[in-house]
Amino acid sequence: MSLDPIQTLFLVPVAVLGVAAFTSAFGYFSGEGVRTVSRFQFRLALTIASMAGVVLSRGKLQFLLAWEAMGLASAALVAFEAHERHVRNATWTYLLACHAGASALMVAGVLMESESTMLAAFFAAVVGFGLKIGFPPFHVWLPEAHPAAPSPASAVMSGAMIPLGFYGLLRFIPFTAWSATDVPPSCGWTLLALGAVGALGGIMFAMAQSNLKRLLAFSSVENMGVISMALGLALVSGGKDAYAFGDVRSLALTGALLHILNHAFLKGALFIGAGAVLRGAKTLDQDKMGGLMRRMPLTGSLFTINALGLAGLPPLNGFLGELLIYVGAFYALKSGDGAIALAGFTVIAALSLTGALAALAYCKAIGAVFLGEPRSEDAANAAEPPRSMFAAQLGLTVLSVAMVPFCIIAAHRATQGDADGVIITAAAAGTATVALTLALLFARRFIAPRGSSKPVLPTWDCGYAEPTARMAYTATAFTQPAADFFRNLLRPRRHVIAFKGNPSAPTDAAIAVETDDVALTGLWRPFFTAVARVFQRAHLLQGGSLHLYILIILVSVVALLVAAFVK
Amino acid sequence: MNIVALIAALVAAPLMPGIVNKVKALFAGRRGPGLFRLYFDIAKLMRKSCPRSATSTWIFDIAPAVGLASTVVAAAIFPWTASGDAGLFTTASAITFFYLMGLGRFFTVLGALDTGSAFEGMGASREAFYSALVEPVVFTILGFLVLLTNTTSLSGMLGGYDASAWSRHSISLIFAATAFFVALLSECCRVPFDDPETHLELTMIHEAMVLDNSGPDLAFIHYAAALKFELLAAFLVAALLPETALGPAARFGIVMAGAVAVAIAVGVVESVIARMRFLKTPQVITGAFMLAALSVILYVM
Repeated sequence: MSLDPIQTLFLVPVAVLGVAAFTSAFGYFSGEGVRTVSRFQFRLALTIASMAGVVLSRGKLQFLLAWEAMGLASAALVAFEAHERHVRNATWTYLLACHAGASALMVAGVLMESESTMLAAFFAAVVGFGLKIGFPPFHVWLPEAHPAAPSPASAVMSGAMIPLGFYGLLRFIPFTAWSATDVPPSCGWTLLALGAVGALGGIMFAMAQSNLKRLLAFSSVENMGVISMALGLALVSGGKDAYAFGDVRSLALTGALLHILNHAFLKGALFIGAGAVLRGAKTLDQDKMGGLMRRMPLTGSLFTINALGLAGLPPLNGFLGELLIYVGAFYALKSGDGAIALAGFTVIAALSLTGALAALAYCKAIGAVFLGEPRSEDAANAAEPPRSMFAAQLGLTVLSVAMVPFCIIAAHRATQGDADGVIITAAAAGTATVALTLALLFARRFIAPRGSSKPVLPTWDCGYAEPTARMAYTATAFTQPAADFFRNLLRPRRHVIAFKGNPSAPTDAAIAVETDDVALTGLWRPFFTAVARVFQRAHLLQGGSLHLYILIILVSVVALLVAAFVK
Repeated sequence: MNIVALIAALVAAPLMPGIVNKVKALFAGRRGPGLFRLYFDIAKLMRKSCPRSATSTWIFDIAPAVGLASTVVAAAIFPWTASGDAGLFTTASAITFFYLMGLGRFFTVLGALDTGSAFEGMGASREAFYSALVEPVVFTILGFLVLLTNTTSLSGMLGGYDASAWSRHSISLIFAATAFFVALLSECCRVPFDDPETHLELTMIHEAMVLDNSGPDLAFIHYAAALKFELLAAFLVAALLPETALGPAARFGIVMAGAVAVAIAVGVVESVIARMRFLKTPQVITGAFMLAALSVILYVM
């Protein structure tokens, strides 16, 4: 059986993250016995096999079966620590999303049989696959399931499984009667709009989270949004291939596909890093961490590097993928076609704000988790996890670095040399920055008086002789100005314990801020509550009284009789 | 030619804060520090030691060097002498230019958080927030320049249009320039966003982030800040300067003279208005974004 390039592209993260998750499971569950590890790895193997099945399947029915198997197997992964209540709740949410998605896909499968319902089939596919990808407002399961699942499982699900939704979408379009160039513009605009909302909304909620894995989960929503925006731009610019300078379609598509790989490696490493942090500090609450860099230097350094990549900053791979999308969007501005230019402009505006907020969110994560002084006893006693977790992160980080030359080659081949100048400049500038940094650090050793940069003093906290960790900025405090600015969207809940008593000797005061998922609290919870209320009414029919049942039978028989006569 | 200009620009960078301060001193009726003050400060800092907080890690150690390196590389891919497709890198991407500055900021913010100081955390938080809001402003202006000049390379974007565009799209250009000036004030931590002269840590942003740095590290930081100011000022001037028949040396001269003019303008702004309340400043940046978007809309219509 031969693989086509798209299959290969989606199989790579499945295989790589599969290996990484398998390896890191030894460390993550160390001390819990061999049985726990193998139980987890068995479920993991099932999940990975079904994911490979999704990519390798040739027919619609095969695909649907593999898709369902993937949902069920990964639900077993989410439910691994099912003795905890929040894990069970998350599993239910996830299962519901899986099944709703699969049923939407069945509808899409039926609708796509006829030319006239093709567009409806596309929208059904967007809902079906969107429930896996995490298009807003279908993303609700991600921030629930990721924190509940063990970290190696989150790495696989976030890096390799949710992008399979894009595999489905990419496969769906050629399946249809549309040729690659005459996809209706509404399809492209749908993906573009969903992507822009997902990217911006995802990163805004990410930065406001205090749970590290919830932050990473919302960041997945953001990255899938970026990919979706790029695909949308490629589709909108569809049939118009030749531009005066460069091809929007190939640039945006290349950027999107590279970002799938980049996100897989970077986010996989970050989720495993979050697992290491959980083991080390016994919590995922960033407000209770701090100072882990000195206690877990390997984990901290790798987390920083990968977060830098995922924030889309040079010199790492995350930047190069986003750069191609940017360049595609800039080219779109000059296409001379109003609609394409508008699409390009939307992508530029959304991507720039997303990128800057991603930098803010990851600064917060790194700063609150690894830097400063520990804010809890557990964080102060944290230690490096077993080596296998480190090995998995290191392997993924090496792959991310190796993606830099790969991005250049891919861009060269996909755009026939058109984007060479841009991407080589970008990669060279990144490399030059690293080299110059090293040179400056080297030079500083000779300039500064010998031995002068030894860490000897406490932090100079403006005159306080003994600053404590409680005075430092917490994760919540760091993002408070931004979260406050976007409060109409984020709707943070504040719990304030105000000062009491004598103002000159005030008692303890406290504030805690929680940011729930608005789609969950504002849309789905009311929706399902309403559905439940309707079905509650139906309980009347099942009231347990024999008289009622006989009455129902009588009414139905009479109704049938009448119906038969009328006919 | 560009390399000579680059070296000249690197040498001239510390003059920029000197000019701003001189203008402010003139407004206040003082003599003020000399134009070359920052050169002496840097030379002095280079001879000092850098004691480090026991809380800090390798992030704090490398942050000033990353900040300086990324700014210098950004300067190296900036077309100092030429408009049109020329320069050290012919298709030096404008995106890389601004993302390198983002890299420097990322590490400055992390370096501040690394000390665990309440004041540095406050500065870092505000810096990250402001810059997040400024990013769409800058990229919208880049989009406008792409529309105007029909090219996506940085050297092409800056001045790749002929002088007649000024009569046809003058309002767009003025709006974009105003928005970029506001972005520059925010990015370089000037009034009304930040007051570089304040002595109260609670009102500092950039200065608060580097409270724990000293010696060569502080010299790196001061120099990088001056260079960033010069770069953004030169960007503003080069974007407004149409393609001319002048040679590269003359163009570089005009760009640098324009950068000095921007520095004088910043000095005037700092002398006539006060730092704004922290809660009000996001509205100013939002206003700048509106102006940038309007410049695009007016161009398209």
